[in-house]
This record gives sequence, structure tokens and C-alpha cells, in this order.
Amino acid sequence: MQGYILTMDSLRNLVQELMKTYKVVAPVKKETRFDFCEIEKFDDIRLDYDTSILPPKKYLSPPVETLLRFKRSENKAEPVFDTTPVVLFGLHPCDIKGIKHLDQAFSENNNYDRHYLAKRENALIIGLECLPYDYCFCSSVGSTFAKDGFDIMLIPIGDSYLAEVGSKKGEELLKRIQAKPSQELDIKKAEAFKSEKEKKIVRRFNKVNASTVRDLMQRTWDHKHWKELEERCLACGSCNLVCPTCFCFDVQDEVHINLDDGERRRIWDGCMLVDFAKVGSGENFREHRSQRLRHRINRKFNYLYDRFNSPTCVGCGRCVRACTVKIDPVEIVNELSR
Amino acid sequence: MKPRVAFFDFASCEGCQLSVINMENELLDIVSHIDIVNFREAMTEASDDYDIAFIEGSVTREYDIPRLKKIRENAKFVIPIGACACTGGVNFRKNFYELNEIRYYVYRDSAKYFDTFATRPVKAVIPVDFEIPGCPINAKEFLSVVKSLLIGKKPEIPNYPVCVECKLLGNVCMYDKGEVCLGAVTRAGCGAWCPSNSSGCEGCRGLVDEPNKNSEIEVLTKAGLTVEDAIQKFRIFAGYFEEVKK
Repeated sequence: MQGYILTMDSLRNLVQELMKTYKVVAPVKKETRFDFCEIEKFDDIRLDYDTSILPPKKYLSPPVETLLRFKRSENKAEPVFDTTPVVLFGLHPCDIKGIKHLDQAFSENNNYDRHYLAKRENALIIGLECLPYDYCFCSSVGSTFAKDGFDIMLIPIGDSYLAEVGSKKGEELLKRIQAKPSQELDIKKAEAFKSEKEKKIVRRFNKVNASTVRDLMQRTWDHKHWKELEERCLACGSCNLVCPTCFCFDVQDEVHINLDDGERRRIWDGCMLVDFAKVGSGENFREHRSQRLRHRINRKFNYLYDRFNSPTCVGCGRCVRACTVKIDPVEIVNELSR
Repeated sequence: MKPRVAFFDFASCEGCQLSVINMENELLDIVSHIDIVNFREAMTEASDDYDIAFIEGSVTREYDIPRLKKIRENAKFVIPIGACACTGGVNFRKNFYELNEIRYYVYRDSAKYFDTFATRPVKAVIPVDFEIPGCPINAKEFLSVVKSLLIGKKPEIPNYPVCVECKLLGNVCMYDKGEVCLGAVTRAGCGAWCPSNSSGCEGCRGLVDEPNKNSEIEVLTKAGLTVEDAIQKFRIFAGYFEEVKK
């Protein structure tokens, strides 16, 4: 772990330097919570945030995104690509892994989603090591630490940060602000922070781990627990919409009041919503809430495993936090494996 | 020829029609595509020759029925607008009381002049083509329905709850602020109007398909309401729904 040392002042320098050329997005306070927002100054940033309302993916795959603009009278359409340079600052390792999943989902099998990739190619990711909060469970899904997927990773060491380099761009940036290379002791402190983090994680799968949770899912398709959850689940879709790895969307056309100009938009969708698996004939492939919940949990721990070679849940805990009836993947997995 | 459009009102506050009149930035564009031929709140002239009828208000009197049937005969599209017309709205609350009793409670000595029956939404009397719910309607949604009809596209009224719109907006959940909210079981389309302005959803757009009422009542009671208050909260706007009637 070779790196650089950033004091609070040099971190401030770094952010101010970035703000000259990038839109800088970072965790800020929002009423009783935190959320990623474009900052106006360094002091807006809350380095002590627990989690954000929405994952930072909203800057790469926005809740509502214009895909193309059309003119009906001319039968013409122009695609829209957003290439604004953005810095995603202060991402915890779970969210970095979430973005890695999206990178793959939006480019695998030579199917390139150019709307996503245009934003992604112009984004810089600066991570921030964290300690667990009330809802997360990263160690059970293998996302406690980020090995890659960032340009710079900040690890708190007392009053300073060890800045781990993840890309050439990241290194250039640290050199530009004349950050000092880290010493042996700094690296030791960073290691100590990480082992403290591991020790503090209390929410865990009891009997399975990141690789065996998939087999558990395959064995428990008919488990009675799914039916029990039918009673509780509101099927409101909140879990889908705050998830850093959910990438399903709906596409809608919106016409201007002149009835000629218009745009095609994609909007976040969620498999927990009643219409998601409904088809033209009126048939609904997942009519019951329990079926939809089982589907969502299986998407995270089973169905996509082969494609992503890991669970697609990153253990950020946002779904539990957002759920008003507190349906919790950790509780579900533990109940299924009891 | 431009489509001819009419507005009618029954038992209501006329706030939905006011929402239409309030669209000052778009009104001139709208009337370049349609002819408004009947709109008591906005103009003097009135015609019975129209293609699209927007109806505000609930049905509460015997002589509303022939009037509604006449509108149905005249119009190609009948579209109830607002909570009263779509689900009976707040007016539906009286259906939970003994009718005569509530009539005298409201009108006292004048009750004899008000011969009303149990509140019904428009669709309980005549077939309707689409509905724009809300108290009042969301002008943006009204405009989107008008545009859809004009280009021959089926209007889209969401069948997902208000929670979805709150999440898309990145709102702090009302329950995180210690407030109660019916957003999880209420049909979206308002753009999470109330929660975005720090007020819990009152459910004015009616319930989504297959709402989990019992679980939502548990959420409300955990947040401090009594079961009775939780049920009353549902009845403010959603009394018409089978799940709440029970």
C-alpha cells in the first residue's frame, strides 16, 4: 500500500483544485440525513457521514435521464450524452463496488450503454474508508475494502489521511498538489484503521458467506419465510430505488405542449413494484409481494452471481434504512439458513 | 378541427378547475390545440357539443345522475378530475355515518333543503375513460393527459406509490423526521408534493393497486398513532376503496 499523506489543509487544496475543472459531488448534510450533492465549498463536505439517502450512482445513472430529443414533424431524433467532468468524492468501499457492478452491467457482452459510459468516462472517484453504521453488513458480501475501482482512496489516520493511488489520474492529481509520499508509520496506521473497521462490523450472515449465500438461495426457493414476508412488505419499491446496484429502468416519451418537440427519458424502475413484471396481456409474472421480494433477494445473491462473480448486494444497508417495515437482507439470509 | 373540451362540476370545492385556470404559462398553448366550449368557472358561453368532458366533484344528489348520463352521451371521452370525482374524496367520509344523522349534524335546521344520498365517485354512475386523481389535481399531470389525448397516446397515470417519487427526488423520508405518511400505499403522480414540502402524504390520490393496508396501519401505529386514528387517516381520502371500507 504505497501512497501519499494528506493533512486536512492539503485535502482542502485537493478539493479546491478539483473544483476548478470538475463538478465536485460529495456527502453533505440534508435535514436529518446525508446525501451526495454538488458542493460549493470544501466545508460543505461531511467526511463523517454514515450513508447517503441515494447512492452516488445517481450522477452516473440519474433517476430521470434524457436519452434523446426528437421532433415529430421531421421524424428526427438526436441522442443526448452528458460529458460533464464530475468528481465523486468520499465514496465508501461499498459504493465503489456498486459502481464497478454498474460499469459491467452497462458494458458487458459488447452492449455499450453510451449514456452511462459518457458520464462514467468523465468521472473521477475518490473513496473514503469508513467505519460501520447501524444498518450495513459489508463483510458478509465481500465489499469491506475496495482494491480497485477508485482513482484515490482516503484512509483516515488520526488528523490526516493516507491517500492510496488507484489510477494514473489519481497519482497525477496528488503530485499536482505536492502531496508528500507516505511513511512506514502512516501505512501501519492505515492498516490499524482497517482492522478496527473489520472488528466493528456486527451485522453479519450467521451461517453463510459471500460465496455460499448463493447456494442457500437456491435451496430455499420454497421456504415459508417468503410467505411470512408477504404480510409485512408494502411493495413500495424504496429498497430498489436506494440500491447502489439496481439498474432497471422504464422508458417514457414526453412531448412538449407544441406537440412537436419532445424527449425520451429513462426513469429508475424497481422489481418490487406491482407493474414491473406485468405484460401486455395483463399477466403478471410476479403477482405477489413475496414473489417479488424473493426475486429481488435472489437477484442480489443468486441470479447475477455468475455474471459478476460475487453477490451484487454490496451491504450498504440503504434498503433496510429506507424500509418502513425494516425488511432486512441479513435477517432474511439468517432466517433462511437457520 | 380542434377537439371541443368541456368542464363540469358536481360536489366539490372547484379547486381542480382552478388548478387548470392557474396554468397561466401554458393556457395559450393549450387553447391553440383545443376549443374550450363549456367551463362555468372560466367563461360565460356554454355548449353541449363537445368531445372531451372533464368532471370535477362527487355525486351526492338524485338529479346529478341524469346530468352525468347526458354528459356521457355527449362526450367521446369522460375524464373525472380530482379526488372527489375519482374516489368521492373527502366527501366520502359521510358514508361512514348514518346519513340522516350526518345531514342534520352538518346542516342543522336547514337539512330539509339538502336532499343528498351517500357520496359516489363518477365511475359509480357512468363509465369513464381515464381518471386524474388528487386533491387538487396536479396541473402537470393534467397537461400530460391532455397532450397524450391530442397525439393519440394512452395517458399514463402511475400505478406505483408516492415513495417512488420521494426516492427519485432524494427526499428525506417523513418517518425519519418523526412524521407519519401514507406515501407507501398512495398512488403517485403528484411528484411527492406534500413530502417534498415537509408534510406527510394524506393519500389524496387514492390507494395503489393491491395496497398492504394492514402493514401500513402497523407502520402508523409504531409511529405513534392509535389504530383508530390510523384507520381514520385512511378514511380521509381512501374510504371508497374496498380495503378501507372493510
